Amino acid sequence: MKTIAKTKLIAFLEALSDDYRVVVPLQQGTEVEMGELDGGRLAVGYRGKTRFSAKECLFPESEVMLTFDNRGAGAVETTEHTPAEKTAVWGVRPCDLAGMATLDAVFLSPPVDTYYYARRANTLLLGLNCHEVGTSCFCRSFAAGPFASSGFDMIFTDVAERFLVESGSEVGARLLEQHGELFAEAGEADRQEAESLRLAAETAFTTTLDVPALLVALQEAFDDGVWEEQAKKCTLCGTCCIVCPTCHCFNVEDVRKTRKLFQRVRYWDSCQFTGFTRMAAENSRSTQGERWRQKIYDKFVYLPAVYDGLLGCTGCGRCLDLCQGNINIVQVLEKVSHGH
Amino acid sequence: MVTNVYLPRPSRIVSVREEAQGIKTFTVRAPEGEPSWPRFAPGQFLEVTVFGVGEAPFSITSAPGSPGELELTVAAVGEVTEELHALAAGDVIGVRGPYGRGFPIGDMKGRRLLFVAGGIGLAPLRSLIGHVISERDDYGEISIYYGARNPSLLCFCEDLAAWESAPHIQVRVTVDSPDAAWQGPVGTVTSLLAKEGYEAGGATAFVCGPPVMIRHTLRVLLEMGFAPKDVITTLERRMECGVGKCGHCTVGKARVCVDGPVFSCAELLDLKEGL
Repeated sequence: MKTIAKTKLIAFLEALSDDYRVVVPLQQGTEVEMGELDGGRLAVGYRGKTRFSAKECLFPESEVMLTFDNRGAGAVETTEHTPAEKTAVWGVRPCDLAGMATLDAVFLSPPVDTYYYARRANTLLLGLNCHEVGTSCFCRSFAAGPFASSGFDMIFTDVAERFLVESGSEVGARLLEQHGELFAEAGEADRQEAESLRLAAETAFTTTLDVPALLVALQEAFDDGVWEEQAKKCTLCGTCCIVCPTCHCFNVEDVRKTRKLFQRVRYWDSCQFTGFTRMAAENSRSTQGERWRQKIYDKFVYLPAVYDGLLGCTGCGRCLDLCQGNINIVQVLEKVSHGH
Repeated sequence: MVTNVYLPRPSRIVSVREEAQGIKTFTVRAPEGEPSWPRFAPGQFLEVTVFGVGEAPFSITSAPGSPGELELTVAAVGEVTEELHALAAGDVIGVRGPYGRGFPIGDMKGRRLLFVAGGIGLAPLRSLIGHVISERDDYGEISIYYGARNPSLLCFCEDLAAWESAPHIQVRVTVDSPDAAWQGPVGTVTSLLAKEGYEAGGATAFVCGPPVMIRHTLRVLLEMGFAPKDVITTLERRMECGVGKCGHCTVGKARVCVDGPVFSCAELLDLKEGL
């Protein structure tokens, strides 16, 4: 275990920028958003979470997959846009690191998704433990936080004037060594301070979800009226999916660039949109209640059935913060678990 | 380096046949540089790119194997399919696949086979029927019930005539709205089957058609005494990726593109959203 003075963090990140595009939490007005290191004021000691999840580093909101150049007479030249840029992301919260485990399961299980695979291989994940949890946070209910135990190259813990730093991969360990002049050896007092911060954070949650009870209750709740009832408040905006660290659905579209050039683009989609399952013959989920239920069942029933128990929720709480219809998903799910 | 599963391979259209009103059958040569199509099973599908328009999934209509050419039967009902209909012999499309889980051929040996199809739903079953006929001695009697809204929408009329003249194959064709020349039965294919009856013992039924027809026919077959595991259907859902990533085609925990599109009625009864 090492430490780094907060005043030296920027030197470390700038050193990384020789080899990587560096993405960090930036203070944007009252919000903190992920952005490039030179794109604003680094939110060194930020509390809670960034407004959007860090999933965009691995699975961007939209990306060009292929370009088709129609040369005429049946000749089409196709160019693949496999991402090659190396990115280092500092300040990723444990809830988002846990979300990446779900993204990994979806995109890296055979057949491997080329674009995700390339980004994943080229991305350095530098996590930041939460010593102060937000009011909507409930990652503890999933053992996803407030401190991360895996899924990072390095993990930072905010301890007053400095960060405690541990490596979680060979690359992380090598970087610690390589930039040894910026780091100091951590002492027993540092360890104890981090441990007491973790214990304090773990007991500070005001939002909790009884996940085991929910998983049992959902086995019998498919035809419950609660889904249609909650869906009445849904504005179909899709924000819950956009901000979710595990939502991975995408749409693919061919976009004309010039008369002969077309780009195949994929972009985030949401199961909450009416068109998500629309076909020529019919729409297999025709009511918002069915779509709302789909979101819950996919995260807590279907994903774990397909991917060995992995859940599609990490308790980040962003969908509580940003729901346009002011639906508190945790309250709804607690009602499903413990009776209406 | 990981193979890019999203990369379409260019394939040339060999010929185009007017199948029925608004429905065409495309014969497509194996992708450029490949001597034959990858081995496929009846019930599997291809993701087809119409360059400059987009991509959509279509079940393979022709019999399986590794032929140099295969057939896709497509109704013009949207952007990609309408532009595909505008293509002609010599034009190039992009293909990915074959994808998905096909019909359970191994479980069918020695059984009597009932095929029930509505409209263009005969397309995936035609691949299976072609396969069964190529190994005719391995199966019991074959019954084919086929219906369309009107006579102009009936697909594969030459195949229907050929099947009818083959030994131990019964073919029944019906339309909802007959024209002046129509001499066959009138009404839905499901009601014709229910009226004529079918002995479920030792038989496997295969159903494909519009969603509402599939749901109704499955119900009727179960009432006739079929066990849910002996009723097989193939589902259509909106798809984008074809490889289990994009989330569009799910039926409960199943992804139609990789876990289907072929499902038994027993599997669908187990799936949330299945029926």
